[in-house]
Amino acid sequence: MIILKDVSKIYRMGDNEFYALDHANMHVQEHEFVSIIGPSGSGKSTLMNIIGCLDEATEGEYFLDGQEIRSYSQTQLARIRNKKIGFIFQSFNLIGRMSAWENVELPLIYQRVPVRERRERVAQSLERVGLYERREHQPNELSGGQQQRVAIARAIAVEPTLFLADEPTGNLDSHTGEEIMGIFRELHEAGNTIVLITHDSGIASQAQRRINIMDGHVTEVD
Amino acid sequence: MLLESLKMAWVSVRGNKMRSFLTMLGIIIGVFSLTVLVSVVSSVSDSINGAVSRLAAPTVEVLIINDKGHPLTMDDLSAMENTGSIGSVSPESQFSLPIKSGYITKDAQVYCVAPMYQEIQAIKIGSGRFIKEPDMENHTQVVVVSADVTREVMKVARPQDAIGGHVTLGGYDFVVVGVIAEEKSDAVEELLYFSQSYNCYIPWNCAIRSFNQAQHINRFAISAAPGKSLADAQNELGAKLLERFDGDEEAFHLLNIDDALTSINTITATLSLLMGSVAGISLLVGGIGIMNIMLVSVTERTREIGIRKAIGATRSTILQQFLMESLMISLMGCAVGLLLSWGVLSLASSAVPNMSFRLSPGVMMLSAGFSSFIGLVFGLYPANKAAKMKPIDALRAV
Repeated sequence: MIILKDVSKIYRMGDNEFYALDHANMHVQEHEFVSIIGPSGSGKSTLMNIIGCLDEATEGEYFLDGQEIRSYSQTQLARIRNKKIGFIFQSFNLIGRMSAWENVELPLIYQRVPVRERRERVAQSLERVGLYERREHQPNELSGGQQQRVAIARAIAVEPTLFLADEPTGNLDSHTGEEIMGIFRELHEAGNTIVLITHDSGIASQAQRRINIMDGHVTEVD
Repeated sequence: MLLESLKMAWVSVRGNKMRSFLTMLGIIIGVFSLTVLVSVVSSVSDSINGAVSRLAAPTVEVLIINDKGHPLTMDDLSAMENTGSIGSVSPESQFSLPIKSGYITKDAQVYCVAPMYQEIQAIKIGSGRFIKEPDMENHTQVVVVSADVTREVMKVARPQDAIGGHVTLGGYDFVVVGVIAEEKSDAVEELLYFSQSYNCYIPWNCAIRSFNQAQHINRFAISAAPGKSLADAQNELGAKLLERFDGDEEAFHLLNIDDALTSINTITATLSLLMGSVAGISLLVGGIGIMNIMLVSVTERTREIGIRKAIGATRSTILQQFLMESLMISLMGCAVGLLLSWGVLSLASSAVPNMSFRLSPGVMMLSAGFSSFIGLVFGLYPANKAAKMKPIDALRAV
């Protein structure tokens, strides 16, 4: 499902080369719930950007769903992000001037899903995270936990091959964080593939499998 | 997708009402000045054209500048009449004389003409008659006056009451035999013909006797023969006169109403273009305003752009979104500007009597086209800037 082969991300500053990611090898199988854990500055955001097709690796090969990502154009990458990846960010990343409903609807508009189907899928996703009643609220009228649930609903609506969560509980109190993790467990039980990036080993231990990252080096733990 | 981008653009325009309005202001003022200026010029020009072609009959006026010792006489004109394309011919000598009735004296414009002059200049008689052939033969001292003479000099209640009355022209007694029909005129016509009030028409022959008018004719007017064009008549007349004056083109001058209209139209077209371009420049400035605000907006919404790109917006989607926004702003500005100028033109129409300023569809289309052009052109740079952003960089923005 996800295969990284000797993937490096190198930043050049003058004559210095800095390996944000140093020959990383990892794989994630379908229906797996994997956590990637590492302290800040370990390169986990870089890893997440590459997995999420937001950034391209300098070296190595990355396969998503059996397709090599390297050769794709910006537009093709956008389509992959649109259809295959459901992002959940630490800072929720909802668009402020749009209601919960409109936020969830947005990726489906980009996919050109017909209106009727779109309405159904948005409603279902919002019901799934228990926020259907608050669909007309704008993000600033919702609590942090509710905002993150809207973000999860936005990912669910896409029906992605991969849920990619970057510190999803980082901005939330522990109780709300636990609720969010509950949703992820449910999603996993429903057969979805989830990659969760965190620095919190308590959170990481709720996944099936952990991958450690430190100074750009990835070590898989089974 | 188009509908969706429209909706998104609307959300964004609505979300920043004050800013959107201020951005629109440049376009509003530009469209407003463009449409008002062009409409006023074209209305005035239409009115002048209408007035000139309505008031002036299709005639060719001839001015003899140098008769080379062979002045034209009434006999020469009679010989010309009804030959080839030339129809009626009438001498037309004009001078100013005091007109007196009772204790009132005014300055009148006196035209010494032949009976055919009525037909040539399409003069409409309100009551009585125009000068007739017997008046010419008998040198009768009769006069046909304009309606204002009856009203302001003779002081009669109705124009027809003036028939048979007497006026003194330059010391000679004249009997009024006809009054010219009064036509409603608009503001421009009044302006054009303001100096030509108190018109009096007297027989040519009578003028020779009473006012020591020389026998020769320096000015006359012709009409085209039935079914012939005025241009043909003019050419024929020109050839005849050229022959008579030994091929000297400077000896006489032919003037027809179409030439006058053409020169008026050239002037108004130039004026229209000039004013239009000034207004166009203000529209252009409005466009720069749009670009400015859109650039600010792109910077402010970097994070939003990042989010959109992360969840799958392509470059062209973002480009389309921002272009749609600037297009919407400029077209809304255009609509408001058109509405405003429609209001002002309606007000002006009711304020200026007998004059209507209309918003022509052509001008409306022009301003809508120009506005969308400006919206697209000045939206392109900011939109492209937004579209080019890398998703990770844009997401990192606070």
